Amino acid sequence: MLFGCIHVPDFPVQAALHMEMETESVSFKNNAIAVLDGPESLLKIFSCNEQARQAGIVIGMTKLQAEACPGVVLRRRMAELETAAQSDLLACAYGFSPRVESTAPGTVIFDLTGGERLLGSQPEIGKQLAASAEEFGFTANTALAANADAALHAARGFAGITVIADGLEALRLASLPVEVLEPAPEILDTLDSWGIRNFKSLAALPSVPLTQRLGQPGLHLQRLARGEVRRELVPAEPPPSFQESVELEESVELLEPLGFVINRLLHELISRLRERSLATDHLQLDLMLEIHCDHQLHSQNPQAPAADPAASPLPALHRRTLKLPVPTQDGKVLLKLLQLDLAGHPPPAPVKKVSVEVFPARVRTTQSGLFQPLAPEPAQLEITLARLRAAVGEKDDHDRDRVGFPTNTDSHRPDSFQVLARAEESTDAKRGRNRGGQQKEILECLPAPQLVLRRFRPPLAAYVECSPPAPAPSKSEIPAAVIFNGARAKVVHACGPWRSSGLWWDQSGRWQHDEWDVALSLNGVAGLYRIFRDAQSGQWFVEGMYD
Amino acid sequence: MYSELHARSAFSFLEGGSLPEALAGIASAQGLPGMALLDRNGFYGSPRFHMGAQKAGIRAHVGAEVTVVDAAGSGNYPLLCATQAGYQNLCRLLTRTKLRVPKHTESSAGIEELEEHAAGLICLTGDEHGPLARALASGGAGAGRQLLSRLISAFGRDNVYVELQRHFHRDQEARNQAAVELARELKLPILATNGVCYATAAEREIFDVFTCIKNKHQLATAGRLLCANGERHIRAPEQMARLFADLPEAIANTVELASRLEFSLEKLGYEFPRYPVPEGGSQNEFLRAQTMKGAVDRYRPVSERVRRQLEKELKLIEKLDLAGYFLIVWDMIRFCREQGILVQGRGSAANSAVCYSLGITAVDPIGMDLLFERFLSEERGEWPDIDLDLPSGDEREKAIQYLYQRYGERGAAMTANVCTYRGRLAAREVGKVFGFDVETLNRLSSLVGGWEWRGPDDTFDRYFTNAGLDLTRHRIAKYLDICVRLQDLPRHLSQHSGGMVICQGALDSVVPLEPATMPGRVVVQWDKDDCADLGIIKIDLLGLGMMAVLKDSIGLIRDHYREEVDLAHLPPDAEDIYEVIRGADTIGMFQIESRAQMASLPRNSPRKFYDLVTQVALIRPGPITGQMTSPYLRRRQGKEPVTYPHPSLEPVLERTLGVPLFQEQLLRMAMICANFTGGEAEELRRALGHKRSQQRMKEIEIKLRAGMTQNGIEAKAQDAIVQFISSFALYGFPESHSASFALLAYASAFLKVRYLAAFTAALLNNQPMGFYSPATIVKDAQRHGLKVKVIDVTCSEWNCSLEGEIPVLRLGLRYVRGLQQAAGEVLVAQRKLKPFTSTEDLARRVPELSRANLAMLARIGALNQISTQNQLHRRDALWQIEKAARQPGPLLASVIEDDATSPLYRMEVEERLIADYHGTGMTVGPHPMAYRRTSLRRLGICSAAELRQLPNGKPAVVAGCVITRQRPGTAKGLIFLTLEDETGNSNIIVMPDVYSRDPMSVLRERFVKVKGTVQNQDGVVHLKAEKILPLHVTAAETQSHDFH
Repeated sequence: MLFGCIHVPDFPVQAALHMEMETESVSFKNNAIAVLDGPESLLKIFSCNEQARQAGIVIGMTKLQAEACPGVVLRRRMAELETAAQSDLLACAYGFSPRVESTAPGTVIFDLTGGERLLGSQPEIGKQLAASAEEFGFTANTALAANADAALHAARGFAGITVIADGLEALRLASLPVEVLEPAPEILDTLDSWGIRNFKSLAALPSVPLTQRLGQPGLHLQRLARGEVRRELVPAEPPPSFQESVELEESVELLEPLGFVINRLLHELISRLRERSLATDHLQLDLMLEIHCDHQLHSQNPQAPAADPAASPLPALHRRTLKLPVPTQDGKVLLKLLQLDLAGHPPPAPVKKVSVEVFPARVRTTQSGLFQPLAPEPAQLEITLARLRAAVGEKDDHDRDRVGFPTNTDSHRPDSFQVLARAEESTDAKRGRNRGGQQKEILECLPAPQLVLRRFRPPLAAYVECSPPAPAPSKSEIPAAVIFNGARAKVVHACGPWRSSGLWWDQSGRWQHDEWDVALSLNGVAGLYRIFRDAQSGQWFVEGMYD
Repeated sequence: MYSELHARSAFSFLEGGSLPEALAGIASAQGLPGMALLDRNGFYGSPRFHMGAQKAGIRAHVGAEVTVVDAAGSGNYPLLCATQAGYQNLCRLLTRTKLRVPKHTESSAGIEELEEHAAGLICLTGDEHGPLARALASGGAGAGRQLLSRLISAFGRDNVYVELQRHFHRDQEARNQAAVELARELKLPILATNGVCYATAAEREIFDVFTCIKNKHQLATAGRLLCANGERHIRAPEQMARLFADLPEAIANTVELASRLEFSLEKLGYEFPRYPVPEGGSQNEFLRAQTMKGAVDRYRPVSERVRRQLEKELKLIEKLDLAGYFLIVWDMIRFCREQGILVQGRGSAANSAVCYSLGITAVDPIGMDLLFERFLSEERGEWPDIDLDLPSGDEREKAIQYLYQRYGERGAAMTANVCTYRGRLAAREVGKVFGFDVETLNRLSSLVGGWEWRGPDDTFDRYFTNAGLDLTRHRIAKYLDICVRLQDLPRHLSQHSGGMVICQGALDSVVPLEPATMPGRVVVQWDKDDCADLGIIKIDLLGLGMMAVLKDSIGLIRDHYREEVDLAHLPPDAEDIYEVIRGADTIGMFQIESRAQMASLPRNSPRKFYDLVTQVALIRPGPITGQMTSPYLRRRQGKEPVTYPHPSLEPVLERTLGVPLFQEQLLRMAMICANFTGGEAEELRRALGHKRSQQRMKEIEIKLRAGMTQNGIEAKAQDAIVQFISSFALYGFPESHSASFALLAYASAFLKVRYLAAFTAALLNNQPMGFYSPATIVKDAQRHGLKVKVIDVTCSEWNCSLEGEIPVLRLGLRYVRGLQQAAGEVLVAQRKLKPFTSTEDLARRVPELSRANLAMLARIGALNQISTQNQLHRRDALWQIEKAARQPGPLLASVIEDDATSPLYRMEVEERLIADYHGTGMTVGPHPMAYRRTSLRRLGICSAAELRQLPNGKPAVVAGCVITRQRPGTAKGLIFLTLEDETGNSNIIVMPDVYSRDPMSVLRERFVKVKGTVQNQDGVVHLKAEKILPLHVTAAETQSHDFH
């Protein structure tokens, strides 16, 4: 048996640099580099290379502290980059063997049994591994041994290329520190207190007393240290892809033929989901457009917009995203939703390539209660909402959804509401109802007649003439006449002001209203209105009329 | 005219936005004749409001909003105290409701309890949370009518007012109309209030933030929990009149009601308890007898001068009717003596020969020529202040419980301590309210605070900027603004460390009582300043670690040296003791062990007790910032002539060479130079010691200058005198207090010099205390010849103990990291039954020891002697405990193993050092620096002992383990490091520029190498650092005691 291992030391650092262009001046070997991770407000050092360690960087340092260390290049940790780097590492290993284990981030082991005839002697294979890793952009340690774990530990512990002959594992690994075995912290602590610092001293301990003290995990560690453990690899499997695309021979301008193309792609993706008992509640459609301009697009990356917006005013990519309330496997529903969406947001240019990606989700199990009233089928409801949205538009002036479920918000601000995408009451509204409940009860219990306000949405701008303030109850003047809708109405009786304000901590959102309930005589007809003055702008509005 | 009769302050804890003084000030400025402070369920802010109102010239009415549970749920009843009986009723009601629920739980009274305590109170119907609003909400006008009828029957028709507030809310106005109708129907008076929650409209923001903190909400999600508008501020009478123009009687009734409120906090009705004397005698006679009896023992014999002084004091005590107070304190002392609790009075009581004779204090005021009037004066007409120092811990608790038992649960209580919003707390709580993420808040909190010294850059703005917050953004600027405005507002009440108040009769009729977090403790709602303002006497029972050390030392000396030490009769002015003190060899000694004290000791060169008294007072923020320390030391050394700011001050300042060091001297200066009366001098004293003193000091300065001008003192001398006096605002000692502390300092020095083993053991058993870590104390003791033995389970007690004829110190199990006292005590008890024979035997017989405990004991070598067969090394023990602590499976249970051997190697020196410091925080072996001495010498690095021999101005390099870091508030940004090596300590001065070049080395490194210039003046040696570099000596976790 022969196993190979490639280990990329300080993997997060190498991964952070992995995608950078070769022309970049920063390199893993020549620069002190540290990778930061954590929330934006408290970034801490997650990993660093040897040069950075020498410059004083310690794992766990804050960004501020790290910046105090001279000459250290700081990079932000990015999970995508690490995933991409690991894929490259796997690709490198697949170049030598079909049986590859993705052991840990930055580490792969692969089965090279029988590979000598094809690849040469073991030292030669080692050299080829190192060269290949370097081609993939990694500064890596490589090792070959008769068992997977010996190769792993040799690659983790020794720099460069290590080849261990069968039977000499214990001897070769003897000098490695026990930390290479990655034991549980409490075992490491015990070994440390015993003065067991390397493989040799661990291997030398008597096995039975060791097992009495550290149990089976201790014995396993000792066998690893002796290079005795033989195990099967767990081969890596490429993750399933739920993306399909088609490049069209001739660009499509109309939505109907486009629908056929999308349908075909959806059909393929849905069957792939079904095979894995999955559904989707999130779908992304990318349409590559044919932009008729004098020169070609600068970027080959389909996700990037046109490189120079001045030269090409239209983006090359038209992207639409759908999010469903429940996961579905129904291709027809998805197609209908996409068609409705495209009807509302048609591509601005002919389409030359179509790409659909669905994001898998677990299938929804439906079991309605016996006495639960029938609700509309979620997928059908979503289609209806999509139709409404296409008809009335998506957002209003206040950036609220136009289609959805309106609900009161918990605020003193008059006519404050939000539009929810789902037919469930927001916790905010629930809380607000509880808070408001008491006040409502008071008003209901009092003998005064209850009036109903018919709101004008939006409120009508008005001009209000006020009478001198004596004996006004506050600084506000009393309204004497209201001019709105092109008519002047005399205020017969005014009651107020009813003052409310809020959001003082938000510069753009803060507000203050002085409301008045006024009886107006408009063209000889009396009416009861609510008017208010916005203290920020000084502008008056008629907010509504009492029935 | 209009009086505001319903206001809440920030002492309603998160339900009010302004301090009581601010409310009083604004009320006065707005032209209100009076105001009633009705804090929620207490009189927390009433004393401060009372004092503030007095100053502002308005009447302060007293009351509270009491939460009462009735049929409609719980509502807040605003109650005003019309008479003293009403106040007492309300106090009792609040006490009853508070004491039946745990601390930090909302208390509420039942409606029947309210009715029971209604006499002397006036009830308003409240705001939207009041009883009428709730009744109207639950049952409309009918329920409102029923409620008012019940209130009328409880309080009387004249004592119920239907309250109307107008904050421009529709529903409020609807409620007002219903209320007015009910009032007319039931012929009740209506009363306008503004339900004030904050002084000015701008403070609505603070109020909103408090609402969020209280309800654990963010501003963005609080919704209608917040105020609808900002109208609950103080309004001027004419504004209120305009607002209630349609109901003028509501305004007129406020004046009428205010005139009915007779009660004010001046008539509190507090009376100190009387001491029960034997039948047929009076308190005065009994006190006289006890004093004379005590004087004979103290003075041996009583001289004519002593007799005259005692007579004078007793006469004054009799005249002021204070005999009861002295007897009660004496009784407390007697209890402590009977229980073997060491106790000593401090503070101004040490000026009294009666206190000395009664055993309350240990300093002879006649011998010391102390000023009795500082303690008690006829003119001041206030109660004397006696503070008692007790050993901290259980014994102090025993003394406190004695007072509770003697005066009853409702007769004695601790004073409160008001916790206010300071930098860190404000930043954290306000940040949460603004919705900032936890990480940012943690970061900000870690930046706020820091060292005691605050540079000009240590502002909130800077902390915010350093935390990465952009102050140009409105939300962040608001966050900062609120943080700054929140400073000093109260957050909650806690218990004062030692102040107790007791009362003749029921204390719960004087001030409401509350439960403390600590079981068995009760606290009053006022802090010590409030109590003092209102003439309530407190006795401070303060825990002092050194008292416990002295007591333990005496016990150890008795057991191991077979000698009896009486602290009251130590050999006075022993030359060998002063020699050690003069050499600044004072680690572990009370009050004189700090860096600054050590630096001044060789200069002050104390030779007698009074020198120690001045020494203790010398290193205080007051004398240091007042620039009194250096002139005094120069004069002590004869380097500067003794001069006086004014010839008239010579008698006052003669003893301290023309430099005022004690509070008494400043008072006397004010009396002589500026014609201050005794009362004015007392006001000055309180301003000096008072945390709210800035404003007061300014006022006093004006008065001082006026007086001095009148006496023809020239401007330069005036400046010097004002400088002396105002700098004491930063805290200085009274002479008597200094003398009490000096006595303890002398006693601790005496014990350390003569009985090093006992003193060190006691010091180690009472950690944490003092300036140095246990590791430093042990190393210092070893340098003085004490043999210190390691922790050993076969002979160590829980505490450090002494062994052998020539006592050596055995470290106690208390220093084993992670070992619980209960487990340690079981170990000792089991060992006493039968010695342990092996680690297995230990693990089996003491199951309280966890595997981690056993591993730690093995690691520090405490199990080396356990085997009866042969001595183990630490790793043998570690090997064995892993088996002993783990149950092997049945398969391996039968495997027999030689118990005394292991396949492991012995620990190396470095490993032993790491284990020692990790497991015990110290090593009894050689100092880590000793192992590196040869190589350090090759590098030209000198030891601490060698540094002391170098002349002034010579460049030197020294290295050592950092044992203290200090950046005192008085040192203009300088940092003081103390480095320790095997020969002693070296003192490093780090200038701000050196610090800023490499702050990490100064703040973080455990071992450093310092290059600098020697400052060797008057026997005091410092190294002024030019460069500080990290030095690798050991990976052991040595500890530095940092004073940030």
